[in-house]
Amino acid sequence: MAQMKLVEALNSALREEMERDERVFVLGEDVGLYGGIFGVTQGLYKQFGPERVIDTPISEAAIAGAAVGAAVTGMRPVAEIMFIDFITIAMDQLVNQAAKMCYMFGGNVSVPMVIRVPAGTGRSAAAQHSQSLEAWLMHIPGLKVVCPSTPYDAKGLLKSAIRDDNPVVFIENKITYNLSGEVPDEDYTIPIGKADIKREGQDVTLLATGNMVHYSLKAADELQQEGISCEVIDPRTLRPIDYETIINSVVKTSRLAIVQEACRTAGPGCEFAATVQERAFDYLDAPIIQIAGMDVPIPFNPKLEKTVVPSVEQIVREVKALF
Amino acid sequence: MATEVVMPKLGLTMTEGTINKWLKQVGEEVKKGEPLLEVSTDKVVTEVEAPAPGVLAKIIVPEGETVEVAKVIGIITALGEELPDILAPETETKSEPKAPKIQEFERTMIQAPPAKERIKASPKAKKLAREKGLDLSQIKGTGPGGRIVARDVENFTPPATGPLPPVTAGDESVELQGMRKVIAERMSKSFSEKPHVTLNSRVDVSALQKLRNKINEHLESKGIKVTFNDLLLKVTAAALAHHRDLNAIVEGNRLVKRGAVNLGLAVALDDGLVVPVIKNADRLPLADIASLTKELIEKARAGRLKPDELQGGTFTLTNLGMYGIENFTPIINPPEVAILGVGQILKVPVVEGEEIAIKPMMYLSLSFDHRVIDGAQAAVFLKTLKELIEEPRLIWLL
Repeated sequence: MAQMKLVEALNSALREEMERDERVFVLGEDVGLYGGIFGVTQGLYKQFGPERVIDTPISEAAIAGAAVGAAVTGMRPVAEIMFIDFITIAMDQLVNQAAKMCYMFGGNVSVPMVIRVPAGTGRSAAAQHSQSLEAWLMHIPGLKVVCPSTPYDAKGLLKSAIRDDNPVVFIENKITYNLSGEVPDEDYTIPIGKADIKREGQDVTLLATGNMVHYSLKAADELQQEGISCEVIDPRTLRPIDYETIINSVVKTSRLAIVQEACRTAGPGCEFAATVQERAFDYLDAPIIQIAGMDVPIPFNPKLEKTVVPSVEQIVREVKALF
Repeated sequence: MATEVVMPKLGLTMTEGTINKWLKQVGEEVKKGEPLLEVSTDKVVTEVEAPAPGVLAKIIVPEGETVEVAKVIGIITALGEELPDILAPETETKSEPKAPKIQEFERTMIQAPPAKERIKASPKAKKLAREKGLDLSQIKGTGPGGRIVARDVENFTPPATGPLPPVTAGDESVELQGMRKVIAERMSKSFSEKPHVTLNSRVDVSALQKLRNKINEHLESKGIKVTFNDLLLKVTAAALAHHRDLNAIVEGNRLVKRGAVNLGLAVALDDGLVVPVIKNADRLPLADIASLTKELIEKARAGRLKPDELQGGTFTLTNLGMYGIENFTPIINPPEVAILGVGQILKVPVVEGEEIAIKPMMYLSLSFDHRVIDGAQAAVFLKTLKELIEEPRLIWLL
């Protein structure tokens, strides 16, 4: 086991997959010579050259379109879109092409591509570089949506995403890039569609992805002092969702609090809340709550930025009110 | 200036009261301190005085309705003063042409009728209640906003009676309410919490009867009549003053032996029972005990005892002699620790020396809380009482 940062875990996943399978290649803005805006593709250009690490023009539609074309013709592209905010420009390629092709060609075509997108707040990057748009992507049948929160999960899931024959949107939370954790030296994968119980507990289930997993774990520590035992679940994949793990947990704890950076309205929490109440209604001892980002553009001012997304204190306060 | 008449808080535990009767009509003049209405609680009926002089301008809560303490139930205005707009009667408001005011009025109207409240319970609590066959309306919610949550259902112990027996023609099914509910709760709490032991002792009352007759001859000119019961209260109070262990209350883990002897006297009513309290009975002259007891019994039967007259008891006396009962096992009136039951006086043959004599005998039945009083302690008290009844002059020794 090696201790590494999440950004390094992603980098090693890319490198190992490119070494393992020569169909795997990387494309995106500044992913080559510069090594990626957050350094995820650092050193790949030097090792694999400009044929397999392609710096593209500033056109997200072109990046996604090129990836779709490469995928259907036998390659396994890993495209980087610099911020999830810019995925809006790539949506036609993703939603109408990548997600539909396998279905519309009667299973004769597969689209084995990955689109990596950094998301979330915390860098004072203002309203067009800080969003959490995962709900847009969760909504599309034919896409898979993955969002790891630890270096171990990031590496194992990115490998699975690259090896998957379907288009996968791989969401990386910016604040977690520098987070350290243990990562095995040997090759391993983590199955897409499998949630992870990050902390076991009895009284309430906290459901969170990305950086909110870490906030929830901190809140769970504080709540434990007050006698409230929290189970923290990271779904890790937002499509398909591992409802078995989530429902089993809610059946045990009778309470569910969803913690998300994304805006509340029609965010991922709405999906979780709706399905859990439908399938575990008789086990709920409190309303399902969403501790979510406010329905506002993310402010540039760092203090304001902090106030519009959940904090550890807010999680503690709102969970306590369930009892 | 208009003065609000509010539902008064007549005792520490009072949370709501029922308007029994308005003693003044709308438009009638009232003086400050004059009885304005009658309010009944689960214990008593009390007259409420007018808080200000003027005219009873509006009755907000009509007779027969129950409201929370401190809720405005009526308005008194000064003589000649107009009722403020917001409090004006319905008809006037309706004729008002200004739209906003009507809206304001309608808004209050929507809030006014106390709608039947839906029981708030979590889905899990409902499922648990269903499985256990429990009625959610019986369960108190401890969740946020008073919601019934799973722990409330899990911790709930249904009343021992189980499901309601089916009611057939000729049966009368009555819900326990008001005084009956209070009695039911207090008696079952006492009986389940306190290990009761009852000691019986037969006493010769001929001396006490003679004394009563003597005293009444003396008091005849003053128009006071002392009853046998008054004498029993007097000697019991004297005995308690010297056996503080039994003149006590117990709350949770704490026993308080009271300095004052406040004797409760159980008074049967048509539809229940109340225990008015004779405060400092050990220090009152017999004539005062007699007149106070008479007054309290009359008030009790009329339902006019004040909360203050029902509180602070340290020991209770209950007499079933008039019903031909010889002895019985009374239940302690909590938080007190003992109660004395008095039976019928019967002339019976008694062996005295080598002779058989006929004497008026009476049973004393003393129930005590065995957690805080031992058998011997209670027996010694009963012995003192017996001696005082059989030889009342010994009261001077105490």
